[in-house]
Parts: sequence; structure tokens; C-alpha cells
Amino acid sequence: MNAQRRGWTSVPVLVMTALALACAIVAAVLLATSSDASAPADPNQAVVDRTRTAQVVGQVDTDLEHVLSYDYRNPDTTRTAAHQALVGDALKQYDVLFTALQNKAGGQKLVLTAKVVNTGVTILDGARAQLLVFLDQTSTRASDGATNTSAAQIRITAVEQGGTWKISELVPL
Amino acid sequence: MTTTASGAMTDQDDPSADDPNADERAAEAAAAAEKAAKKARKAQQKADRLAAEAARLAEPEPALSVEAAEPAGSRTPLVAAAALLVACVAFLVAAVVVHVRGDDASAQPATAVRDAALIAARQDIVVLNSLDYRSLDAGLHRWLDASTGELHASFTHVTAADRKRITDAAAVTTAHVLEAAMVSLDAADGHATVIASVELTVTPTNGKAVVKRERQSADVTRVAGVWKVSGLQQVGVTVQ
Repeated sequence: MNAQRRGWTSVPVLVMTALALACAIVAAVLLATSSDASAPADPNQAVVDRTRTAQVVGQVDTDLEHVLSYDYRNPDTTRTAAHQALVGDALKQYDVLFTALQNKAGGQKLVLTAKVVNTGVTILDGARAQLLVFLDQTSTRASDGATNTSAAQIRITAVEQGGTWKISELVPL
Repeated sequence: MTTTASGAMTDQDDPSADDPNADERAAEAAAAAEKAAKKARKAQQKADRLAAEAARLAEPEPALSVEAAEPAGSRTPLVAAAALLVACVAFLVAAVVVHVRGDDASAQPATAVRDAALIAARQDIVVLNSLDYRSLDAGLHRWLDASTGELHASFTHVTAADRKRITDAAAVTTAHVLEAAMVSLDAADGHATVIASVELTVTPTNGKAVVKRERQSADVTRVAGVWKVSGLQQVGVTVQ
């Protein structure tokens, strides 16, 4: 009995227990005041996931240049490109636009050339992406040689289908 | 009669005729009794010995545990306290690591860095596209606050001629970012490029407000944990 009392209240035991208590208190305070680094991962991997960002940017840039370019001598090239690159509302929109374009393009001998200047990705969440594209569209009327270049700003929504990004929405800003 | 008497006499008066037999039997009985007693004593002794043995065997149990408890009683608290101390020190080290990481900007998830840079870029692009000729100094001060690097330096060299030109134009320009997107990000070094579709409203004192769209590209740089615009260009058309 005497020996046991001496064991639990001996100086080393008391010192170690007090130190342990102090460590625990300091650790708890540190954890309570540290900024929350364990926040759940952001599903939006735009820009951060460099590989997939480069993939969607590359695909959308190429498709837009094909779809928004037009040559009155070879209109089907554009139509084919559009039907490969566009889905959903974007394709419906395009069909309306293409019909209107074809009606006046033939007479004016119109050539449209689209060139992407800048592309930024705002959302890259799984198989869905949203982009902002700066695009120059130069129109040349072969009938009178007049040329005009316009600066377009387009918000693009893209969806990944079977490993390929397709444009599902196209909103000029 | 005699025979009977004698027979009776024999039975009664001459017991000595049977005596040796009786003595023998008595001796036998005594011997047997003694043997039995001896056996009993032996059994008793054996039982006693066994009991003693049992007692002796039973006794060391508590005696042993007492002996074992004695030294353990003085060592267990020491071991327990040491283990507690080790555990708490490990907990402290882990807490320090978590704390330091949480405070370290470079350990922030890249998505958080991206969001911070984009939010700052949007706000700064609005500031750098806005100016009210009636409060030119306040406007220039905001431009200085929102910028860094070369762009910041260019605002420190606003000449009297520049001021006069702005005041003479007598216009109020406000800006609104329709859409902004990041083109590239170097989270570690603190550099990013952001493009924005900006709607500008220029309202002259005498005249109608003019609304125009501009494509702009901003270089943003992190300075002391704050993202600021280090370069701002209008993205014009490239005539082919």
C-alpha cells in the first residue's frame, strides 16, 4: 500500500503526467486555431488539372475554328464539322444559322475564317466544362473583295462523350 | 440328571475349558483394533500431511501475487505516465504539422489558389477600367491599390497633361465583368493569366452613355499573399 502510493505520486510520474497534459492542451489549441486544410476536394478542376484542361481547350478551339469557318465553294465541310463537333442545343442553333448563311453566302461568295485568340476554362467538372473563348472571325466577300474582322467573345459549354469533348452550348457575349 | 447337571456344570463351572480360545479371540480382536487404530493414525497422519501439503501449495499463490504486486506497484505508474507523455508529445507534433501546413499558403489546394486569383482579377479589372473625372485622385489611388509591377509603376507617372486630358474628357467610366476565365496558373510562383469579357459604360457630362464590349487579358501576380494585376491589355482583332 505504501509502495503503491509512492508509485502514483512519485515526482517523475507527476512531472511526466503534467508534461503530457500540457502537450495535449497545446496540441488541442493548435488544432482548433489552424485553418481548415482538410476541406473536401473541389470538383471543379479547371486549370488545376492541366492535362484535361489542355484536352478540352484543344478540342474546343479546333472544333470552333472548323464550325465557324465557311467557304461558299465548299459549304458541306462546315456542315460535316458541325455535326461532328456539336450536340444538343448547339447543333439546333447551328442548323438555323447555317441555313441563313447559305442563303446569302452563295450570292456574296462569302468566306468566313475563324481564329481562336484566347481560351480560358471556368469549369471542368467531370464530363462537363465551361469555357470563355476570344475568337476573331474574318469575313471576305469574294464578290467585291471586302474584308471585315470581328472580335467575338463566346461562352462555351462542352460535354465529354465517348472520350471526345463536344460543344453543347454556344452563347455569344 | 448328572449328565445334564454335569453338562450344565460343565457349561457353567468350567469356563476355563473355553478360556484359551477366548483369550485368543480377544488377543486377535485387540490386535485388529490396534492395527485399525494404527491404520487410522496413519491415515490421519497422511491426511494431515496432505492437508499441510495442500495448504502449502495453496498458500504460495497469494504469497506469489503479493510478491509480484510489490515491485509492479511502484513501476506501473512510471510506465503509464511515460506512455501517456509519449502519446501526448506525438499528438503535439502532429498538431504542429497540421497547424503549420494550414497556415502555409503554398500548401493550399491549387483549386483554392485558382479561385482566389480569379476573384481578385475580376475585382481589379473592374477597378482598373473605372474612373470618375470628378474624383481623379481617389480613382488613381484605387488603381495603385489594384495593381503591381509594371502596371503599378505606370500609374505613378501620371503627368499633369494626363490629368488635364482626363478632366477635359469629363466622363465617368464604369465597368462590369461579364465573364472571366483563367488561361494559365502557376500556383507556386504566384502568376496567372485571366481573360475577361468587360462591358464598359462611358458617360460624358454632356451626352449619352456609350456601352461597349472589350476583350481584355490580365496578368495577375501574388504579392505578399494578395493577387494584383501586373498587366492589362485589350485583346484586339488580328487582321488577317
